[in-house]
Amino acid sequence: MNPLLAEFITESRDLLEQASQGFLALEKAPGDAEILNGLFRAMHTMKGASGCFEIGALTRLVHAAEDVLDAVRQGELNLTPDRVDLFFEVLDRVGEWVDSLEAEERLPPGAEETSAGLAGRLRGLLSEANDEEPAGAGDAVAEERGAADVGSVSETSGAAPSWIVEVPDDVRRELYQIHIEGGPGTVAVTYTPGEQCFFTGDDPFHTARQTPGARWGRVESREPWPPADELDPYRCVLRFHLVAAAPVEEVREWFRYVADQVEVHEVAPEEWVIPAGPPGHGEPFGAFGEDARRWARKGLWGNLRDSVRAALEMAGPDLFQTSALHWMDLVLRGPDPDPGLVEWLIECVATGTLPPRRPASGAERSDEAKADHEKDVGSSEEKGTGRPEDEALAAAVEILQAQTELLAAPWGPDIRLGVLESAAGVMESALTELGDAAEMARLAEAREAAQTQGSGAPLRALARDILSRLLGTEEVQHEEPEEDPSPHSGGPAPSRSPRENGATPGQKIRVLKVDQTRIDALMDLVGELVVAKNALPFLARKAEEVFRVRDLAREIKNQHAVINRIAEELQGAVMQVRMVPVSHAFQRFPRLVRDLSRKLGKKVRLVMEGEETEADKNVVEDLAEPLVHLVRNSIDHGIESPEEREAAGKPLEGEIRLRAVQLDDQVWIEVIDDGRGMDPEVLKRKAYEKGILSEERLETITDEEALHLIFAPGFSTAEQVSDVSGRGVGMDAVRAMVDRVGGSVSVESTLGRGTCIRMALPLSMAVTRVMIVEVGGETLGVPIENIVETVRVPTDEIHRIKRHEAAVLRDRLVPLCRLGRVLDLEEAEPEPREEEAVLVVSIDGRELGLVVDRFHEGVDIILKPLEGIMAGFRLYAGTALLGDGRVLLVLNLRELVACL
Amino acid sequence: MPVRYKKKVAVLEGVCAVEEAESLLGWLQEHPKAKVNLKGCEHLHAAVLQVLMATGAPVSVWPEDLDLRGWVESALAPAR
Amino acid sequence: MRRALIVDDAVTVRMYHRQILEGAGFEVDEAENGVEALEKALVVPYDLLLVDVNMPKMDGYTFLKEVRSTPQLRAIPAVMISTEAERRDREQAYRVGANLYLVKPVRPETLAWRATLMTARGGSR
Repeated sequence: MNPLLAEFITESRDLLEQASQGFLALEKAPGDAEILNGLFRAMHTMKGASGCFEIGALTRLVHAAEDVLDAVRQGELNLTPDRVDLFFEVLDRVGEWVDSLEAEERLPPGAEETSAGLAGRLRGLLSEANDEEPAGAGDAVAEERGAADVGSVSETSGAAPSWIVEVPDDVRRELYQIHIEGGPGTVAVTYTPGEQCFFTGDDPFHTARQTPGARWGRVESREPWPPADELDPYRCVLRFHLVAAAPVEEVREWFRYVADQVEVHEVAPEEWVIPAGPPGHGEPFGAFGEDARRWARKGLWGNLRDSVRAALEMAGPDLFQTSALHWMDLVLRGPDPDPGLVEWLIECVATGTLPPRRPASGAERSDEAKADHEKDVGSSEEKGTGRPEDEALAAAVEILQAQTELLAAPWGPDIRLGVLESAAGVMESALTELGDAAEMARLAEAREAAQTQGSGAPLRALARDILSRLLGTEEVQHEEPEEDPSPHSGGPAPSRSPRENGATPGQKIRVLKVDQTRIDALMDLVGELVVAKNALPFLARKAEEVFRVRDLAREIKNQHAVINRIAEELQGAVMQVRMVPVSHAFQRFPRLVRDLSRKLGKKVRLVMEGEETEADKNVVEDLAEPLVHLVRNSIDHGIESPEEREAAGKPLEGEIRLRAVQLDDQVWIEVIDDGRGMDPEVLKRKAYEKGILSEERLETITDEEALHLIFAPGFSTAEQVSDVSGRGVGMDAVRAMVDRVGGSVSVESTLGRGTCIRMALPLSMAVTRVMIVEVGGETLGVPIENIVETVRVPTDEIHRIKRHEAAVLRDRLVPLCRLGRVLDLEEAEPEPREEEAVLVVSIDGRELGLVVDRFHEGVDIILKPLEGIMAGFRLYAGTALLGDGRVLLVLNLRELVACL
Repeated sequence: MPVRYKKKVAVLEGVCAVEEAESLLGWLQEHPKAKVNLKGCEHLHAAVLQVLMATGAPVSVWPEDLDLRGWVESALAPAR
Repeated sequence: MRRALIVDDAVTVRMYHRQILEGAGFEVDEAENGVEALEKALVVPYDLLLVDVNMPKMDGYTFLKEVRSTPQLRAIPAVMISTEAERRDREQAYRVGANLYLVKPVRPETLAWRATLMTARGGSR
């Protein structure tokens, strides 16, 4: 991707985030000037930056947002929650467009319409601003706004739209004539109706055809046509271009109901002058050119006109040159023919092509053209570009004109010397580059005079003189007042003071931006090192048991300890690089909570704690989605309506607490609400009704276990599917997502008091620690985060309850599960033992004792998901390679519990 | 009866309203070789115009209404 | 090599202008606001300042006034680049001592030529 665009994407996201925070902050501190300025600037900056690309829809939308924020800043408009909603909608759309720019380097289809619609609504606020009592009554700002409102049809100043070349020559001549004969003015309109306009009873074609003064029009489709059977006849994808001879206000009035879909350009008469037709060849035109140039130079318009008439007699119809001659005839009929235009037309006739127009036949004009310039980076085929000497000349003209403006501007005495010196310097530069050495002496004089007089006049006179020579005209536009600012203090100023020639200070890079894939590669290597390191204890044991060299074994163990420490530190360091604060995942919640609570008519306060807690980037990223579900659920089902809360004697405003805590190698993310809580009895009944819970289980299930039923697939506590958390994505999806990153989720709830849902997530996902156990001759891994304790239970303390076994451990009755039997790993009835090795694990708050043959050490592994035919074995979470080369199967305890 | 469907020609007359768009589209799909006669047409709703543009059905007779003809000619002329 | 300082709070705009100016043979530095720009300009002898209007901390108008009233900086050619095409805005730019007023987005050739012509006599010659 173009690095400029990439930068724009990053910058825009920051600005959007800033704006979003700003709006939220503003709701707490309405009218805060600093926040408003920040918001304004964010939009302003985006507008400016977006101008570097061809994304007009985005630019126009943020421009509208900027204008409205400006009005708010001026105190002309209040930001009501509804209006903030609109702004959020705008931020969302723009955010989507930025995503699309990232993915496809262009705006999504339909962006134009969306932009027009939203911009129209935003600008609509400006007219509301007038109805509201303005802060300073009747001040100039408000009046100006009012004036701008009449044209809330988007106004395009600047060059005429490019499509007007398609308007037939005779129509353009007619329009030109109407114009110069003092007619009503001429406009070019582009009308892009909304896609849904047919449903509101609009006939945009009728609207376009009936435009007052319409002379010509064209219709086109905005996108390629689909095959007929996929065409939606009621989705409007048309665009209309038309030209009309009517006062611009009248045309705007005509389109007032679709103002945001229309661009009205008031066309200056000379903009219609575009000769058209196939070029013809032949002497007559060349000869005409020679004569015509001479007449034109001398301003003998009468003679020129006669030549034009004569040439027209000879010219074949419909040729390009003929068209140019007709134009010239028309232009010369006017009272004051524009010499530049005439000369240009002469060149059209003489060369049979459209030469570039005179770069700057007036400062205003060149500025306007610039405002509407190509927004595409780098590419530009414009009139006025082309040959370098033209470019240089145009630049010189503009620079000199700018100096005349600068020298005439009412600057204060404190910057007078600076103005004079810099203007003289710039003039000198321009003259140097143009190779105009002859003027240098005059410049030196003028500079001297300017400095002694303390006035810009001498320099300005020179600049205008040079300009008129460059432009080949007697006069330069811009008659500015002659007087100059106070000429007090007049000592000759030191000329351009020498500056220290210090070297550019080296720019130190403090923050490195590293592609994530590089970090991932590093992490993989660290993982391999950890695993390789795990081979050392095996080697030590082998040295001792097989080769009988105890000293070597001890050496290896010592080395292992060292390598282990380094590997751990290395792992920690790389992890540290990947750590980001969970605030990344929390960021969107102020907005979410605000929107949802408004939608549901609840009052909710969001409290966030521990945002600075860090976790692995992947964990934080994966966290975002489940968190949204949880928070939505809390607002939708947890927090009661204000009335309900009042009746229950609770504060009207509910509270949702998002809390992040780090505990050893886990991060706990909790969503705590003080809402109505959950009733285990209700949950049990529902689960039973839905067939999730068997009758037998219904009796034995504890309240705590019942709460965890909400995570069961197909279970939803919502009385009705609400707009907010409906659509079938329930808590089971949350659990699935948490599972995927190797975390667990649990719930606590007190009826009437609230609910706390806790996600326990690994700090890092790259390395998992498992305990190795042996069952029926197989080694299996059990995730260490699930292990509560390892105990040996005397066989006679194992109780049988119906078909199940259980043991009392520290006063708790823990059900036992013979792993070998469940996994079908035991050959026959195992020989009776005096005591059993029991691994007590906890799954979703339920404890279970796994009876195994033997415990082994804990190891760090990199868990790889099962692939191929193995993928169907859901009892296993994945495999890992051990240090001695064996493959370890790692148990998926939740699945195990499910099939008991 | 702003649209009359003959064997191979749809004749649009007077002012063709939005409701015609869907049936015209259907008919043109069933008769892929059909043409459109706009001779007596004074105006057609943008939705109807859109159907003609999208299907590319050839125009057998252009509208007598010159203003309408100017608008639709560029959109429906076979040069596309 | 001629040196230019781009003063703009938008990274994208800075990068865009940097590409253009570097293409025109300038050595380019960047500053995010007037304060930072002043600090840099007092150390490095720039041949051209490219100044945005609306910036946090110190806006372009204030910055230019500072430049024009500081002896060792006041002669440096300055281009003010703004998003506003209004007459009022250009007038304000000249009032604080801008040598040229351009409207964003600026065509690459436009900026390149103007920057070149404004600094032809400067540079390390």
